[in-house]
Amino acid sequence: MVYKIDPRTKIILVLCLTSMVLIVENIWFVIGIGVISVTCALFMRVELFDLIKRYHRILILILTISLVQSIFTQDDQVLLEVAGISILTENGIKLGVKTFIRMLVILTSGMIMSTSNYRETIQGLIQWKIPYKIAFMTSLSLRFIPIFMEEFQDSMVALQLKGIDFKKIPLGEKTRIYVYLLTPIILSSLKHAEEIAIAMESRGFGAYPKRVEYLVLQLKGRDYGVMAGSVLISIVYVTLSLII
Amino acid sequence: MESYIKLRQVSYAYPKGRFSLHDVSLNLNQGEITVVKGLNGSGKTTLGKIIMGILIPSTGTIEIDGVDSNKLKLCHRGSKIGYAFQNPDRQLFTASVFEEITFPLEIKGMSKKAADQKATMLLEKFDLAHLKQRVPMRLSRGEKQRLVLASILAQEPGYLILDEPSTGLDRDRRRELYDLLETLTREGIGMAVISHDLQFTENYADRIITMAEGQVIIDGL
Ligand SMILES: Nc1ncnc2c1ncn2[C@@H]1O[C@H](COP(=O)(O)OP(=O)(O)O)[C@@H](O)[C@H]1O
Ligand SMILES: [Mg+2]
Repeated sequence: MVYKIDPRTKIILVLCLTSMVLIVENIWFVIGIGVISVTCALFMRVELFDLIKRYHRILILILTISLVQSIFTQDDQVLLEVAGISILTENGIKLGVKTFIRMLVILTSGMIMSTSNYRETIQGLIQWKIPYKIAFMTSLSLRFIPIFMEEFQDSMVALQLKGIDFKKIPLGEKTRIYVYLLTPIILSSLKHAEEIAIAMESRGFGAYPKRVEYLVLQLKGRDYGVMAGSVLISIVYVTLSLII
Repeated sequence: MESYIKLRQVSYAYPKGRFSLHDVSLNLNQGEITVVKGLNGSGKTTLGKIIMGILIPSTGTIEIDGVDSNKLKLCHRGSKIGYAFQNPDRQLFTASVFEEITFPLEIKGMSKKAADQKATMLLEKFDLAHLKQRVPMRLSRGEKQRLVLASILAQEPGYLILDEPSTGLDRDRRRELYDLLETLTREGIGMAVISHDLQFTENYADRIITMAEGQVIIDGL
């Protein structure tokens, strides 16, 4: 694609995808949204397969959360039972799959946003009359996603170097390990939040009522097309999922 | 004495980006401090990660303690070589200093009593005993650094790779850390320390390796 898509178009697309995936309940429709998101990401030149290869651990983590959710959901349609305890139920599996795809769509959305330069994203939001402060914070947070991924990767390695084999964690210890794994990420996001706050203050946020803008974005025909298409398709999609 | 780590014509290129490490051959010995220095971007961190097995070389062989490193899974390497990331926050996980040491031991099946004993001993040695109920993330940089050392030594590795461990420490804290590293070396462990600090290089190094553009250009003292 020669022409660059406006960051605002991406925002609309991402908003449509994430709200759809959260609203829709029918499993086949949720799967459909997963497929659509991945297709969009590929069109936006997100190097999805490369990312999957590098961060397959995160996918495994999400998969585990989904699995746990699936196991703890009780239902009449028992598919697998061990010693009188139902392990897999039809509803459980459906719920697990939905959780998995929902998280996946949210991650993919972050990836789509990170294909835009953050200055452009901020500018796009301001031109939509969103206060600069909020625009700045939003776009900056999106840019931290790849950094988080990298930090997460390092922590995975560090845990393994402590002698922990992810393939052989005793069942009772799984939750504990995942909590450990999330701790550095949560703490580092707090730290990044602080950095953002400092960066904002040092740029004189709030010091002047109006900011001068150099970069001005122009929406093109194609942008309107994609935006309108995203919204329309979303509405149709959600309606269909409610009817069927 | 047989070298603990042997690299033979090891090369590596990041999948993205231009940087590559080429044709590094190196023996690293126990009982000595090897300082690795070089400009930013010369490949020091990359070399450390390759020896650890965090990055897999495209060609060449690495032998660790007499074993072909291809045969060692990441989760078994920690008991051969201890690795300290440049940023200690990446390798602190728990809610208490004490637990930071005991949890991997317990998960691997050591009894609670034995794990507690070992942790008490290590915290004592690294002057952290008075902090044992504190949250690791809230410690000072120097304390974090010592905790990371204590926790990797809990696995009793034969060698250490430390990536710029003196970052963020003032002069006195650095001196304390260096003395600690020297003590460990006298006890027989070996270590490769990535460092820019002249005070360290001049007073503590048994050997200095200088890197530039992905190659070892000087190896000696
Ligand atoms: N994940 C990566 N992908 C691509 N290039 C990288 C990556 N990590 C580091 N590099 C590049 O490799 C070179 C060497 O980096 P590094 O080993 O960290 O150097 P040093 O630790 O000596 O400062 C640098 O030019 C850096 O930009
Ligand atoms: Mg480095």
